[in-house]
Amino acid sequence: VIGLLETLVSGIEAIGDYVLVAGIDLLNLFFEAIQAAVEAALLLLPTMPSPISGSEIDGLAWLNWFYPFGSVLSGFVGLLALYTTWLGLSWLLALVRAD
Amino acid sequence: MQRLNVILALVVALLLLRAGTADARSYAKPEPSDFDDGYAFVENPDGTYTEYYSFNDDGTGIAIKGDTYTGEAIKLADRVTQEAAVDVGTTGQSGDSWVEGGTSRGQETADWLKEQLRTGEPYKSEGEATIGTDLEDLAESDATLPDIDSTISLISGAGFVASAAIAGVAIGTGIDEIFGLPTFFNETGAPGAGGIWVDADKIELLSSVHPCDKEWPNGAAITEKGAECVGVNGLLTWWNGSKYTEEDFNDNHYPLGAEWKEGEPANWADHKYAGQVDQQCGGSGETACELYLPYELPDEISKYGDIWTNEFPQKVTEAAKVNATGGSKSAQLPLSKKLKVPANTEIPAPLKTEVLPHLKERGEVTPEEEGEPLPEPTLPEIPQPGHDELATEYKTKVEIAGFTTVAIDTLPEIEIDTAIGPNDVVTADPAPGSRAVATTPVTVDANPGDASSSSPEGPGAKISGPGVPAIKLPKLGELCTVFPFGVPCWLYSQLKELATTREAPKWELEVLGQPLRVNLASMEPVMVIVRPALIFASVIGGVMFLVAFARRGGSEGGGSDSGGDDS
Repeated sequence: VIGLLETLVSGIEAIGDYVLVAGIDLLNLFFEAIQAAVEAALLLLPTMPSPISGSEIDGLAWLNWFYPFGSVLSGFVGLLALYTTWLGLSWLLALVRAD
Repeated sequence: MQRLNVILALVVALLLLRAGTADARSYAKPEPSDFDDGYAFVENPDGTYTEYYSFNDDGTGIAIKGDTYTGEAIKLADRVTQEAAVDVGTTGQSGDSWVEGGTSRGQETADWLKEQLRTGEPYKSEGEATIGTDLEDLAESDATLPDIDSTISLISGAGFVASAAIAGVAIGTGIDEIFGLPTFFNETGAPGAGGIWVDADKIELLSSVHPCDKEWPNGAAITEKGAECVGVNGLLTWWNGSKYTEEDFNDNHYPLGAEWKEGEPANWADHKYAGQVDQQCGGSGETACELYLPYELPDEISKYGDIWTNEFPQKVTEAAKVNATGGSKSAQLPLSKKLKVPANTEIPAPLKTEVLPHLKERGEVTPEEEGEPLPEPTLPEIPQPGHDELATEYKTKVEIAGFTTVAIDTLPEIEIDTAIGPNDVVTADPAPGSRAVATTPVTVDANPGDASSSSPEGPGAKISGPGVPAIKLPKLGELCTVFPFGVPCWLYSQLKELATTREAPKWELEVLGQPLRVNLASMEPVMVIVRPALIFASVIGGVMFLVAFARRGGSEGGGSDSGGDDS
């Protein structure tokens, strides 16, 4: 009887693990759907052009001597990236609300 | 004084340890009584077996130390001898590539060989066993192998591998795989006929039975034998093709028996692989001894080839005898040798039709007709253990099957099979389902008595939860390459490109007809101060811009009128 009880208790203790696994499976399913959308976008959307090399921009080296233009801008690039991302998201949200 | 004792004890311990290590590395020392028909396998202290050759059947005269095999290889050879061999099929090869071709034709041949050769596992059916047996038979009787005259005529400079040679390679390599030993000899039958053997990276032709071998008197020293059998170019005969170097005859490596004499390997250096060496041996009426193909060989074997006569079956026989004394269980089989077909060789098409029809002519079962269990009524079969069967019960079952020596081996903790319970059978050696002679020692591997079972059976068995899987995040970074999602990434990359190297402006003007060169590099000491100040001001300005932007929702920029709309 004690053995059966131990088995029962261990089974109850394992319920949490099963719930956790189910939750992670569900989350992974959601992520897999996103990944599928990403791969579809990669197939369908046009690719971005390569950035223009700094050495190809006339006068940039001189400008950087006076003022580290590129360095300052690249210092803010993270914020700018966040800003542009926010712009895109807010546009999408506005689109949803309008519907 | 006490400190001195401690030091002395340490010294003694070190000496003992060193002596023990030296013993573990030493070779066994065969005595003449160990030899049977000129051949012996002797167990080394580390569980391996070293083969020894002797000129005389009774072991007198000089002996040569041959290759060392693992206990497992010896055990496999034992199985072959007992006709309990070997295969899991024609496509079951695994591990590293042991056969490959240097040309496209060679690769075709190699691929064909892979289909034909064996792995060293028990046969599944009579058909497979037939193939294996026929490979051995072909080695002795197949007419496709060239005789020595035609072999010589086939050799022309660097380009030689005849179709018959391919067949020989295939057959021989098949035997090699069957036996699971690193080398083999392919005997063609009558003395004087050409044989072919393949050892890893070389292909060599040689006469099957060297006439000089038979002429050597018992007990004669090697120099006498060599003198009797010296070839036209002054090389020794049986010896000159051996890969064993002078080092093998050093007292440290070559243990001398009571009646043994130390050899004198004259002219060793003459027999190097410097391209093709066509050595004629003996006087008129004798066939060629060795014919070496030009081949790229490792340094270790580039000096001397390796001659095998029809001793190979004896090797297996001796291996079976040695096996009775046990061997290293954990050692690996010396399978997986590379056979390279020379790149500069014209290789004919594989002789697939020359081998398989040979089997069909005998009316025997082909591999396609697999499925029938291998009937071997003369040998008892290791029974299959049941699930959760106790080792003691299984041992009784094995004994009832006819095996006389059955032992239970308790597995160490790391090898416990948790799918079954304590004291249960995990496996047996020889493997269940295989056949062996009744005297073969059978080892039953069993879980220890305190082994825990992971199966949730019975009262008290705990139910363990499932393993938690990992969260697999989507790879959003891949979107950086496509529009419009890639715009932020592109901006980042482009702005980074703007942070290029700086260069002090300089130009040249013409004032009043005179050139005026301006180079602001001289202002560098000033700019060292100005630049940080500008950067600081830019940071302040940028932060203020973002704050203002956040407060006003982006509708207005700048900070000069901040607070105007907030009231």
